[in-house]
Amino acid sequence: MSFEFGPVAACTVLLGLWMTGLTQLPSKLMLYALQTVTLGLLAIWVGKQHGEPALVAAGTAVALLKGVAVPVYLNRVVRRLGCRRDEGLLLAPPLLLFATAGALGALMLLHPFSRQIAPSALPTIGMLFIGMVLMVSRRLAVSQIIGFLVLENGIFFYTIAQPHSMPPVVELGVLMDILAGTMLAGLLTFRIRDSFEHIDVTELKQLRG
Amino acid sequence: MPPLSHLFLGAAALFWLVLPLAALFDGQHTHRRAWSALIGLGALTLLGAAVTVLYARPESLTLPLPFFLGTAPIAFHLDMLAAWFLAVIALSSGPAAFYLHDYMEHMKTRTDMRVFWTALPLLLLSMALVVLAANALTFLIAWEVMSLSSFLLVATDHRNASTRQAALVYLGATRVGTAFLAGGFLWAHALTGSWVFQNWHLAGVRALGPGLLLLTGLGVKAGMWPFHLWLPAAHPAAPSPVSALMSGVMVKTALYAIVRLFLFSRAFAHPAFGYILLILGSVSAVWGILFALIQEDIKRILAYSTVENVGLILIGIGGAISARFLGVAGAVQLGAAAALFQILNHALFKSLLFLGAGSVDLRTHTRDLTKLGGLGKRMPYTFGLFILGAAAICGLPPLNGFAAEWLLYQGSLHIAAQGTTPLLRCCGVLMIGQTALVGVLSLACYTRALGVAFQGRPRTRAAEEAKEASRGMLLAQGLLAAGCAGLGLAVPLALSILQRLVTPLAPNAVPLASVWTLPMPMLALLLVFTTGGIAMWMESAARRQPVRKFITWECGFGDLTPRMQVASGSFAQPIARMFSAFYRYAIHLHIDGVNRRLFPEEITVETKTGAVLETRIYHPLVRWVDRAGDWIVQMQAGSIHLYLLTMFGTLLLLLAIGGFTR
Repeated sequence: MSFEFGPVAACTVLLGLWMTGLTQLPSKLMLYALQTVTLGLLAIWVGKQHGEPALVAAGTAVALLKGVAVPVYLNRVVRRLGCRRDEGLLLAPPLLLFATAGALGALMLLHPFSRQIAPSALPTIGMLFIGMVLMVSRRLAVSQIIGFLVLENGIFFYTIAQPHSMPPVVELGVLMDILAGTMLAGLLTFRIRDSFEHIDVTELKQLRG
Repeated sequence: MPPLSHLFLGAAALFWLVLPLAALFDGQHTHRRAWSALIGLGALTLLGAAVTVLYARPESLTLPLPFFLGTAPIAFHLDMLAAWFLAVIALSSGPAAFYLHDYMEHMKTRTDMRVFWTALPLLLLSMALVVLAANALTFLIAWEVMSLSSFLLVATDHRNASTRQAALVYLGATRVGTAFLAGGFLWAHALTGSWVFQNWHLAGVRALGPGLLLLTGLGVKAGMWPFHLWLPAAHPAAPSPVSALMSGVMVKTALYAIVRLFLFSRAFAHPAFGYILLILGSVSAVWGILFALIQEDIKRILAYSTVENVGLILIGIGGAISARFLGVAGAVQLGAAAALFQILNHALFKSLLFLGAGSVDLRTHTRDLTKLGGLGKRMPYTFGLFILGAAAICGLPPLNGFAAEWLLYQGSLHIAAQGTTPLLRCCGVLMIGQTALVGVLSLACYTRALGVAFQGRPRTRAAEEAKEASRGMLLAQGLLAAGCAGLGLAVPLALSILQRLVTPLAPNAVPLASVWTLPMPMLALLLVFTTGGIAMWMESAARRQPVRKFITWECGFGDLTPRMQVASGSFAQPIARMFSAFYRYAIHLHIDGVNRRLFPEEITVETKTGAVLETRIYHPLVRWVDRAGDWIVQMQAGSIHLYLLTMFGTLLLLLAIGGFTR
């Protein structure tokens, strides 16, 4: 990977880190859109440099669909649900931001993973980790969707960072899955609201067998 | 043009696959005769396949590409050993088809028959596939279909709480068995790098680990001591034709795998396996028949007796494996032939006995010996066929059970006479004594079952009002009985087939036919003539002297009631006392009255038996598993965050493990 990759990668990870400290859902969505568009542009740029038209196409699709369409849709969902704030679970979001930053720093320094994972791929794992943190640390169902999307961004990031990226068919297929999944999750959130009169995931404890 | 055997197998699969599809749309159980006919046709074509394979070269069959199991194809191997077991499946399930439609009639209102008619052909088909599987993955999948479909069949009468309990016990046993089996296969694959059974050649210490896992997994299914506990639970709970199939055939598929992997293909070659099988087989045989002797439920008696027979078969297999390592060539062939012969025999007579017990259950609505009695006069044909089955299972000549036990005795004699060390010769003698003990005990067991259920006076109204079973049910039992008698007379034919099967094991041993020195048809004729002569003599004696009728003198006690007959408990008592250490047998006798020595007013006798294995080992084990389950359930708290954390934690852990191990 060329050295220009580094600052952009750091930017996307930092955007993700910023998201862990936010309580307002619209601003979180804004940051997510920024992150995804950046990643899409990065993919287009990398694809141009390596002469891989498939990666360019994938990057464009990601930037447009995941970076614009999905946040707009989720923003509408949030507005119609009428709950803009997610207080977070256990740890207050600002504290969580510091804890996550510490954990990420430790991850970078210790590098406890297989040597097959190049140091250049570490930020991508960091973004995966941030996605997990976002999913686990919030109460509302919409936050879980956002966390999942960030996690998926991490995976996409990983495929760009690898010298041999995934076949474009797989990449686009995953993209389609994510879109459909997000639509479904958005609709299901309404269903949850209608049946439980809230979308607080911590209260959904009757789902066990 | 595919070979004939493929056509036959395809036809059998077709018959048994059409049935579930058709049965799904027939909730009312209206076409049960058609379904039974499909079962029977499938069995017939399977028998055709078995016969064609017996007289042809071994063949392989690999399904084309869309059917693939990840790392191995769906592949089958048709050779003589598989054919022998296909014949076992076909000969036992074919007659049962005649039994099904009349027997299942009474279940119609109690349960959804669609499940039954779907699971039954799946069970039959999967048993055939288990026998034919060429690699471990195909085997495991067929094995799972077999386990689960038989679980559904056991749970047919699931409105009954005890049936549910039994079905759960059985399900647990199959899960444990499959877990061991999967572990063994994975280990063997790790050592050999292949899933194909024919490529497995592990010897020495390397064979021990995977071999022991496999032996445990197969032992659970086979009902080997100490894993036999599901048999007496599941067999009484299942509908009788299903018990017949499970006990007669399904148990044998596990024995098939043992024979295939440990004896024929030498996938796991180590003398320890022979000794283990020999010891556990001996324990199973004695333990099974001892517990069969004290049961009150006819089907439980039969289930424990299956444990005994599996024990005898394992003695044959274990003896053959041990003899090969100890260099007693004659015993290898004899042990293997005895085991294979007994597998076929047991499928026939145990199915016959289970169907007979089913007829009794259907007509009297009880299987409890203490509530039966006097059925011989009310169900004469069932009685006669039951006698024949019992005589065959006890190994009485000229029936088929005798021939297999004869081979087993001959094998033990070979070890006793030609063993290389004195210790080995002693073991041979002990094996003879042990087989004889088991034979005698089984004679006592079946005399008890027959005598108490069919002879004397009926103990309850239900037994008094019993009627003969329907024609279809009798036909099924008649076919099986004909199989027992016919096989007993056609021993040379069976031995000639077995000879071709077992010759590769020890090529230069004495031929099997040389140990079969009995002129069995002559003896049978002699038996028929003697019996006929005695009957005719008694007839003429009765005609010469008029029959006088008297009341039995009752020693002044008053009327003789059916309760005064020898009961099942009292019949078993002498033997139960002899072996009271096994049973934890205890009799509490209590006599009450003012002058209780001379004029007792109330006498109560209570016998108690306890099963050591259940109370001392399995109950604590199950309790421990239960407690562990409670702990695990806490994790399933319904909290989505907890689930997510678990998943992410696992992911990070795996990443870290990957990092540290590289």
